[in-house]
Amino acid sequence: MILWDPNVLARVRRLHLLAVQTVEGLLHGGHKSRRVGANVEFADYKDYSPGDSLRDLDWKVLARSDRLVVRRYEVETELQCVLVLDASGDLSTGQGSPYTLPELEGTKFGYSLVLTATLAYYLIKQQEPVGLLVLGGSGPGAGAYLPARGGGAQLARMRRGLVALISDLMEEPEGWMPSLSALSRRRPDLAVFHVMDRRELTLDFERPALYFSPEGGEALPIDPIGAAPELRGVLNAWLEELRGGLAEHRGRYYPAWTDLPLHAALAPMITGRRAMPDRDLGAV
Amino acid sequence: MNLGLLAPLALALGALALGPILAHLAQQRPSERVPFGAMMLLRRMVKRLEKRRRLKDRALLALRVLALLFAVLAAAQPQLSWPGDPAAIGAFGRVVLIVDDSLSMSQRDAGGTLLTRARDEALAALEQLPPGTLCGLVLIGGEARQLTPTLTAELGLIRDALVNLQPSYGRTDLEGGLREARALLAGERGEVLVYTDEAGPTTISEAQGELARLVERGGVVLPRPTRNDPPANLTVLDARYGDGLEGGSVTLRVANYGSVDVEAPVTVGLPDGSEITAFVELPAGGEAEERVTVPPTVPGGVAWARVMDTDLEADNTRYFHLPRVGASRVMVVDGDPGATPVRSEVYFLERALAPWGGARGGVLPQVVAPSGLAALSAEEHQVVFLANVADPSPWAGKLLDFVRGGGGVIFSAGDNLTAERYNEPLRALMPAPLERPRDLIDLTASGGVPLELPDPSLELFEAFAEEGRQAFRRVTTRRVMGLGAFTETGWTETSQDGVRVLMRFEGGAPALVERRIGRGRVLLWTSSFDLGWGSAPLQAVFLPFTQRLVAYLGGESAGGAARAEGVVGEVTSLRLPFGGLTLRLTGPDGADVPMETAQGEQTELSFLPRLPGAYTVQVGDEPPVALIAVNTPAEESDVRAPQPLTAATAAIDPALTERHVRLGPWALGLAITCLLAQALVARRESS
Repeated sequence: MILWDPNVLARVRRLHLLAVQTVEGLLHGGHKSRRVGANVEFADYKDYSPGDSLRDLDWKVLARSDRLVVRRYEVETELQCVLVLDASGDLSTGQGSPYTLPELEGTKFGYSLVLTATLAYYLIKQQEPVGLLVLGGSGPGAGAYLPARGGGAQLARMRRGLVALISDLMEEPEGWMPSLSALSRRRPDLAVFHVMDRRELTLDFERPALYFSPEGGEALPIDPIGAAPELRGVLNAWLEELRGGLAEHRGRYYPAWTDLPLHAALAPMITGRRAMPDRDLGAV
Repeated sequence: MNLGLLAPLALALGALALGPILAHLAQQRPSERVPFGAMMLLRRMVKRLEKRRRLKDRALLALRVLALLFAVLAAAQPQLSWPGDPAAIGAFGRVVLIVDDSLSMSQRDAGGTLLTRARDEALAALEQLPPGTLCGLVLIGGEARQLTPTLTAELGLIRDALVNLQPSYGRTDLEGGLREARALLAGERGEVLVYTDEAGPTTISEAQGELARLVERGGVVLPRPTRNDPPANLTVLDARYGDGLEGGSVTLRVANYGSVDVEAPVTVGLPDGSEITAFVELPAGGEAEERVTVPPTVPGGVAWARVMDTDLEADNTRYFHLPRVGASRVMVVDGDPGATPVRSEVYFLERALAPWGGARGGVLPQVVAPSGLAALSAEEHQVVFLANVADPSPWAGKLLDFVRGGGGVIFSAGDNLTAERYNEPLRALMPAPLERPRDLIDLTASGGVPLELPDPSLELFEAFAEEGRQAFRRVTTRRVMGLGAFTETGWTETSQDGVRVLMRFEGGAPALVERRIGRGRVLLWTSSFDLGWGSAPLQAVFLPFTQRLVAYLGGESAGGAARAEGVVGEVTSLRLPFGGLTLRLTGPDGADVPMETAQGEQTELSFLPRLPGAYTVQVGDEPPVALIAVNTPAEESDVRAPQPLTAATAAIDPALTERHVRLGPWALGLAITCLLAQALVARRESS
């Protein structure tokens, strides 16, 4: 028996409310999305083997040739959507997002959580099955995979579908870009929501300090005043690298600044517009 | 060049330099920790900046520390000082020029000598003196002398004196020169310009005291070193004819004061005009010895040795005495020929005089009977031995002339001698009146009475070492010729000739008595030269003693002339064993040299030589009665200047010969520059 924690239930309700508000705002005055219905087409026969469903036996063939054969069909899948949420430690930082749960204090993860919920709500409202994959992190949901409702297809078997990655992408691209390449060969629709905290990327801090990653590793002594200009150059180069890599693998890049409204990140995907460059960050 | 600090305690502020260093280190490791979600970007940035930033950080630290150190240095007021003169000469209105015209200043210099260089520099300094400056001139070659009795404003006088300056052969009298300068300044402040090559191992050290006194009285000594670098000079330090029995060679000691090894020819010039040349290898800064063999027969006189050297020619030649080389012909008159040679009176004497035969030895004895005295010749013989001659009275006049001309006569006693045949006829010749032979009392019963130990201060015995003199103690005698009363100044009342006892037997009996007559001497040996009265011929000392007797009596040098040595610029004195004669001193250039004499029974003669070479003392046109070898001062040949005058002056009062510059403002400027530079670097880094 599962005892639901009231705090968790409240958090979910809050999350639902935020998602509803955002999606309704986005869809207000818009068009209904495409409805994908079930469809079955004959493919071929195969010899019956124990365990096959008797419902699939071709009785006519049995009658004519006294052979037990099973009809096989090509199944036209639904638009299966998998939301991949980055829950790694690096997302626990950030203070600039008003679009987050109060308990998460405006962190990047809080923003990512709301964004994921909103996206899921939107897709569900579009009657698309939605699954959730949580990457990294720790706690009850870490590493969880929630399959898309309405079928047993796996991500790897998707011939058509949507994979939405919500992450700050704070790993060296050469580490995860090859995985993206393998995914792109299965022709999914890949959308990457790049969660970014403006204060972090502009080094908007006052005093020199030892900066360290919540994921561990060596702390670096940084004077933010002196380092900010240099970091801007590094940031621009990194973003160019990301965009180039994603474009190469037919992925779509959506910047998600935590200090901007959620629809600023979702609208380009939903409406099909290109993301607007961030004026505060110049090339971003 | 020295660096000093006027406020050294300010250096303690240097501890402040730790401040920037600690701050820099503290800055590198902030204490506050901030979780950061974009560490990947920071790592990329740090990697990109690491090298550049490290350089900047170190540059910043260095600049800050330097700024502080320069500031501290400025507070300590550093002062740089180095040897140097005041900007202008004549600031005190009095200037004394000391010019070294000593021998060493004749060293060759580009187009002239060191003296001409010093003269030109002194003239140049003279021209630059402010109008009205009082000036004086002192020369320090030989004996220091003022060329201006007082300081004078008529610089033309000094200019003329400098233009007509001539080199001397004297030593550097720097001490005297400083004394004269002090006298000229008369206690007032003034500058003393010293133009010298500082040659001589003790020139500067001897002048230290006077230098201090001059500085104490207000003199500002400004050395003007005038020397060749590197130094170079060869000289003959010493030349000496072997004075052993064998003789025959001149030993030369040659020095090389230069910095490179050289091989130089050395020539020995003999009194007869012949020359002998040898080559000597001279190490840098060292000496070498060379022996030159002279011919078997060379007349005595002053010889010279000269090394070929163009750097300083004035000291190339060294003059030295060369005794007569070759056999001295000695007449030995045998007063008691025996039946066999061994029984002869002069058998032992003849062999002692010529142990290797006359051709090889220094003495060529000619043994004759008493009648052979008729052949005595001053030109042919130098010494006559009369051994137990019964009656020499027929040749008394001949013997007297022989002695007065410089010859030597030795009488030895024996049974044949009688007072009657000696005392009156040979009264002008004999050292003492003879009496009867008498036996000595032999208290030890050892066969005779031994001789007393000879006095080494006597010229006759100075050639004998202590062991040699002890050998005389083995000579014994049983009998001697008794002597009548005589005084140390002569046994006749009218004679002025000197008489002295050179040696005695134990108990006081005279053994050897000398009498000087004219330029010669007469000796009386109161025992016998054979074994009749004593054991002398059997003793080892008999041979060198008889040889020495011949040399002593004039067999060494021609005419028995007295010999002396002197140095240019220094008073040279000698004593002649006669008085009452008019003497003439002739220099090496043939000119008469002024001298001072004190006449008595002997003659004291002194003079100041100005030139090196052979000086002769003569009576009229007769052969020289004295020869003086005068040389240049040896210390002037050492041109290496071991102790510079500049250092000696600085040791007394460094401020006199130093120039200063204060570095405080420079250090402050550097500190400000470093501060600005670090600000620029910091700003550039932060932007």
